[in-house]
Amino acid sequence: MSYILNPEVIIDQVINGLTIGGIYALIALGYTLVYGILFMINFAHGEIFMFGSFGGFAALTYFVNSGFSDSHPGLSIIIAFLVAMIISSVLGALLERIAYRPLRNAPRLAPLISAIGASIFLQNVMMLIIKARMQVYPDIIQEQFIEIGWVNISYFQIFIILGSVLLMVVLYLFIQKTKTGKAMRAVAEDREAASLMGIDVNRIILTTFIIGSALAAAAGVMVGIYYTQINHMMGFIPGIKAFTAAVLGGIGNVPGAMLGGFFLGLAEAFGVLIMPAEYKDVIAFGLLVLVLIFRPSGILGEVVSERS
Amino acid sequence: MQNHRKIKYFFSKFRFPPTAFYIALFLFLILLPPFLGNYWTQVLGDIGIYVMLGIGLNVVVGFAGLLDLGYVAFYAIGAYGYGLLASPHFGIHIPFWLMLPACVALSAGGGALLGIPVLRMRGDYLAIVTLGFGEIIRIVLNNMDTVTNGPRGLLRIDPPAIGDFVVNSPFRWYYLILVGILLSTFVADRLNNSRIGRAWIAMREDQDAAAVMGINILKYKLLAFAIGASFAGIGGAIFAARQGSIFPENFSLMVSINVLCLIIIGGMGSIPGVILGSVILIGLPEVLRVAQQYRMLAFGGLLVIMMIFRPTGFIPSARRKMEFKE
Amino acid sequence: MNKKTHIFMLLASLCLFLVPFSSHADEWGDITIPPEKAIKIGLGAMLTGDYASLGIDIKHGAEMAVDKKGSILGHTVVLQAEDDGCAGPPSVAIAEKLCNDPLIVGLVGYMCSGGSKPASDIHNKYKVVMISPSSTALELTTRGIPIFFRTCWNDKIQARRAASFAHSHKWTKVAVIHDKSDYGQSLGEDFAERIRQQNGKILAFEGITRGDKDFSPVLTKIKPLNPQLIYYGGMAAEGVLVARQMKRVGLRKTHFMSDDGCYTEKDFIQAGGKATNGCYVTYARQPDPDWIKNFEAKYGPRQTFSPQAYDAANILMLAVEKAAQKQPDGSLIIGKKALRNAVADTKYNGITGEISFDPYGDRTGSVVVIYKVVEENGRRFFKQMIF
Repeated sequence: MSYILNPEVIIDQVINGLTIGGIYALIALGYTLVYGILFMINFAHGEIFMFGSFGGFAALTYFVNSGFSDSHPGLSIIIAFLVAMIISSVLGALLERIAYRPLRNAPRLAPLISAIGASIFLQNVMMLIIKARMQVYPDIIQEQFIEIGWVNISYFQIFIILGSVLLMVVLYLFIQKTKTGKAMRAVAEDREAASLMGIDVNRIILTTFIIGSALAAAAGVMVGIYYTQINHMMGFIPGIKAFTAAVLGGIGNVPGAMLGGFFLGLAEAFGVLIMPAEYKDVIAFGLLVLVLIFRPSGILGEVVSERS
Repeated sequence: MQNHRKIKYFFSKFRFPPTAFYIALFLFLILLPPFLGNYWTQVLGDIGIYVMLGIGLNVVVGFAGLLDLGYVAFYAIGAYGYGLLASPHFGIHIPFWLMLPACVALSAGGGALLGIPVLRMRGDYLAIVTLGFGEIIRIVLNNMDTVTNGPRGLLRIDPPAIGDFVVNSPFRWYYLILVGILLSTFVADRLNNSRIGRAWIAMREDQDAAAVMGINILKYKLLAFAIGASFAGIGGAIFAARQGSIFPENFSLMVSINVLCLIIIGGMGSIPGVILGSVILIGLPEVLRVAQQYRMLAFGGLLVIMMIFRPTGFIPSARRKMEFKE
Repeated sequence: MNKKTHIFMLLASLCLFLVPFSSHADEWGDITIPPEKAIKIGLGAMLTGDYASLGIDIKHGAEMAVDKKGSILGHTVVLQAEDDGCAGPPSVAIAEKLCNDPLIVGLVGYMCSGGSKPASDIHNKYKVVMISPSSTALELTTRGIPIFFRTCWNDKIQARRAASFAHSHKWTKVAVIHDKSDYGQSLGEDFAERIRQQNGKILAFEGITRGDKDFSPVLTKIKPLNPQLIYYGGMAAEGVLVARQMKRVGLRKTHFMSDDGCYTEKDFIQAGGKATNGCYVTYARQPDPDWIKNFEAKYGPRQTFSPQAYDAANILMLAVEKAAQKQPDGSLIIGKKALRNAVADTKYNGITGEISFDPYGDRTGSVVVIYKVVEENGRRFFKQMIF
C-alpha cells in the first residue's frame, strides 16, 4: 500500500477529486440556495440536473446531425449549455409553482413528500421519453491531455474545475453585490420583514429556483461531455451526494456549498485509495450521517434565520 | 341547501365502519384464495407483506410523526437475520417460529440504534439521514461477501414448517400473512390507544408543548423507531422464507419509498388507509401489468397531488384530519 | 374494532390456517393445451433499463424462431415476453406468473444470472422447463435443478479462456475490476483464479458499482501498479466507461479485456468511440451469416445473445413437438417430465453450432472466441482472433 504516498498518485487523485467535486458543488448550490430561503430540501433538484444534461444532449445531437458542430464546435457547446440552462430553469420554475408554492404554509413534511413525488415523477417522465435506454453524448471535441512526467491531466478536467469555480464566483458576487442578490439574502433572513420592506417575495423565490437550476444544468452538461453516458436515473445518487456537500459546508451558505462539494469529491477520490473501491458510495452516505449527527451546522456554519 | 347539508352530515358521520363489516370482510378474505388461483393468491400475499410494512412505518411516520426514509434497512435486517440462520449458507437451520422473535429483537435493536443519533434532528434532516442509513445497509450487505454472500445472495432459505406441514404454497403463505396482518393491526391499534400512543400524538402535534408537559421526547422517539422497526423485521423474515432467496438489490430505496407512498396515499395514521394504499400501489399494477411503465409516474404525480389537495390521504384517521385543519 | 373482535378473528384464522390447504402441483404433472388454443413460450429479459439493448435483442432472437415455426401439431405458437429487469425480484414474479399459466410450456430466460437463480427455484417447484440464452453463472448448473438448461456457456469456461489468452500474450501482471454483481464478480474471480494457476500475478481486485460513471479514482489507484491488462467483469454500460477512462487516466499501454456482456456494437463500440479500439472481448462463435442477414434485415444490428435465444426457442419447440401427444379432440397433452427429458436429449444443429446438454444442463462443446475491436476501412467492428 506504500504506493499511496506516491506524489503522482496524489496529484492525480486531487485532480479527480476536484473534478467530481466541482460537479457536486454546482449541484449543491441549488440545494443550499433553496434551503436558505424556504427551509425545504428540494428533493427533485437531482432531476433538474438530469433534465439539463438531456437538454444539452438534445442540442448537441442536433448540431452533430446538421453538421453545425463540425464547423463550429466551440459555439455548439456554448449553445448546448444555454439550452440546458433554459430548460432546467423553466423546469425549476414550474416545480416551484406547482409542487411547492401551494404548500408553503403546510406542515414541514408536506413539501418534502411533494418533492419526493415530483422527483419520482420527473424520473419517470424522462424514462418514458428515452424508453429507459441510456444515451451517449456525441464526441464534439477531442479530449487532450497534459502529461507532466507520470501525471495525467485532461483538459476536460481543467475545464470542469475552472468552469465550476468561475460560476460559483459569479454567483457569490451576484448575491453580495446586486440588488436582487441583496433581496435574496433579505428573504432568507426574514421573509416577513423583507416583504414588509417591499420585496416581492414570490419573485425572489422564483429567481432562487431559476439560478439554482441553471447551475445544476451547467453541471449536467459538463457531466455529459465528460462521462458521455446519461440516463434517467443519473440525478438520483449525485443529488443525494450534492445535498451531503451542501450540508457539509453549511446549509444556506454559498461558499460553504463550494467547499463542501470539493471536500466530498476529494474524500471520495482518496477514500478509494484506502478501501476497496466498491465502498465508494458509503463514503458519501457515511459523511452525511456523521455530519448531521455531530456537526449539523456544517464546516462554515449554517446561514439560516432564527425561524426554525 | 338543506339537502346539501344533510348529505354532508351523513358522510361526516360515516367514518368508522361497524364491527359487523369487519367480520364480513374477514370471512370474505378467508374464502377468497380457491377462487383466485395460485397467481393472484401470490399477488395478494405480496400486498399483504406491504400492508404489514405499512402498518409498521405508520407507527413511525403516522403515529410519532417522524419521517423515516430508510425503513427498508429494518426489513433487510429481518430478512438477512432469518436467511443467514435458516439456510445452507452457514449450515444453520433455526426454525422459523424461533427466528421470528429473534428478528423482532434484531430489528428493534437496529431501530433503537438508528434512533439514538437522530433524536434531536429536525424533520427534513431526519428524513435524509434515515435515507442515508438505509443505503449504507444495502451497500454493506452487497459488499460483505464473506458474511452475506454479497450480490450472489442467499439461496434455498428454509420455509416455515410444523412437522411435515410446510408453508410453501401461495395458499398457505396467504393465510400465514393474513394472521401476521391481524396481529400487526391488533398491536398497532392497542398502541394507538395506549399511553405511548397518546404521548406520540402530543409529540407529533407540538414537540415543545409535549416536553413541557413532562413527556420524555427522547424515550418516545426511540420507542417509535424500535417498535416500527420490529414490524419490518417480521416482514423481512416472512419475505425471505417465502421467496426462498434474497439479494441486496431486494432492499433498495424504492421499497422505503413504496411503503411511504402507500401510507401517504392511503391515509397516514389510519390502518384501513394503509390497507387501501397497499392494494392500490401493489395490487393494481399487477392488474394493469400492461401499463407497468406508467406506474411510478402515477405514484409520483399522486404524491404531489395528494399533498396539495388531500394531505391526510384517502382514508385518514379522524384525529389527523383535525390536526390538518388547524 | 374492539379487543374481543380482534381476538376472535385471530383465533379463527389460526384454526383455518392449520387446515392443510394443499393446492399446487408438487408432482410433475401434465400440460394440457385445449383445441384451438395457442402454445405459449415464455421469455424473460431486460426490456427497459441500462442493459435493454441486450434484452430486446434476446426477445427478437426468440421471436424470429417462434414466428418462423408458426405452429406445432396444429396449434399456433406464441411468444410471451416479460421484462425481468435483470434482477431477482421481477424474475421471481414473472416465474410465478408464467409457471401458473396453463398454456405456457416452457421459457427462454432469464437474461441475467441474478434473475435466473431465484427464478429457477420457482420453475423447479412447478417443473416448468427454462432454457437461458445468457445466464452464465456457474451455480445454475451445480445445484441439481433438473429443469434448467442453457445455450450459452458457464462463466468458468469463459473466464478460463480469457485467462489462457492473456497467458499466451505473456500478460502476467493483471488487474481485475468487476461490477459487484453476481455475473461480473464471479467472472472476475474465476479469471483471477486461473491467472494465478498460470503463475500470473493479480495486482488488484476492485469492485465498482453498477450505475456509477466515475471510475477515475479506482483506475488511478491501479495505475502505479503498472498492469499489462485490465480484465473487466460486467456489462457494457460500465465496461465502456472503464475502457474510456483508462486512456484518460494515462493507462494507455494497458490492454483491456472483458466478457460477453461487452460484446455489443451499440453499447460498447459505438458508445465508446475510438477509445475502445484494441479492446478484447470473449464471445461465442459467429452464427451462420445467412441468419445474421435475415435477422438484421428484420430487426437491425444484432447485439449479443439473439443467436442463443433463437436456438433456445427452437430447442424448446422441437422438444414440445417430440413430447406432445395429440388427443382425438385436437388438444395436446404434454407431460412435463417427458418434455424435460426431450430437452435434455437434444441433439440440435443450431446457428450457434452443435448443441447438446450435459447431465447438469450445461451446453457441451462450447467454443469461446476472442474478439478485438478493430478499425478497418473506416468501419469499427469486432474481429475474431485466432487463438
